[in-house]
Amino acid sequence: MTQNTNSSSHPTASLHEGLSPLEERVGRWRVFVGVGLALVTIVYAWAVVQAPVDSSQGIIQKILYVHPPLAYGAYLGFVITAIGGFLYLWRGREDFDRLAVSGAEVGVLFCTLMLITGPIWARGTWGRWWSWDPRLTVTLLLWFVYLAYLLLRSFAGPGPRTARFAAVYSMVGLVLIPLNYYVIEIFDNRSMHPDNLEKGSLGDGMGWPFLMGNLALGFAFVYLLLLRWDVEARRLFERRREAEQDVDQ
Amino acid sequence: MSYLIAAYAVTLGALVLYGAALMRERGRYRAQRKSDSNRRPTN
Repeated sequence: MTQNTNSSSHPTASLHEGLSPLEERVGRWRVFVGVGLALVTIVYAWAVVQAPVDSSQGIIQKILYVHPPLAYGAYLGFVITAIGGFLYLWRGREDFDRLAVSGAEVGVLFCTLMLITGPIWARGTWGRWWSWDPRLTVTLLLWFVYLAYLLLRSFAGPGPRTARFAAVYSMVGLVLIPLNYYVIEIFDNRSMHPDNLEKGSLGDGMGWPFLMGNLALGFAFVYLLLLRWDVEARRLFERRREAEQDVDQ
Repeated sequence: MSYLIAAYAVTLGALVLYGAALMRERGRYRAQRKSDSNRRPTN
């Protein structure tokens, strides 16, 4: 008996440890992203410590350097999920579907952290953890939509049918991102949540740490995405290999 | 100050733990493949 006797039954069995050429190539960038992350994180920590203390909110305002970057990471994760889903439907390649799952998981992690850091900030400034204002409500809805995506994939198991449905679902869910971003303006600034940041809206000396926060969490996002993509490929490969061994026995 | 520390600690802790869990899982799969490739064919 030889290994991979049923290799023709699935396209990834003959690939190196289940990784597609694209996944192998992109995986090599992870080292450079990791080095960049380490360097940027040091500068980020220094920038946050050095950032001026806000005259009205006090030191708690420094949550600004982590909360919006987490939101952008969450948006990016869900956009990558939809792009991966679209490419899967278009090209039929499993590695795009694995990218979609990875984007959703890292996006949900960032969205969860945004939903934790936001209430911490709110408690310190508004005096309460949560308010059912438009921005917070739509953010919670966004989190539920992509959490449901992950649950759907987890319960339904791997397969082309699940992947196709998940791809369509992720593209529909994307509608919530512009709604989430512009909901404050849609509700005519009646939201408790501050307005979206614009150029020049930050105080003196706050732009630099904000930029570093976005860079550091951007690097962290890309690093985790690439790592999760790699693990997803290996996980499916091992599952299939075990299934083949069970059949052979 | 405690709210600020909590926000950064939760974020850093969650990202590091998630990354470590992924690295561990990846290491397990790689070790499995290595052990499979070192195993003598049985036929």
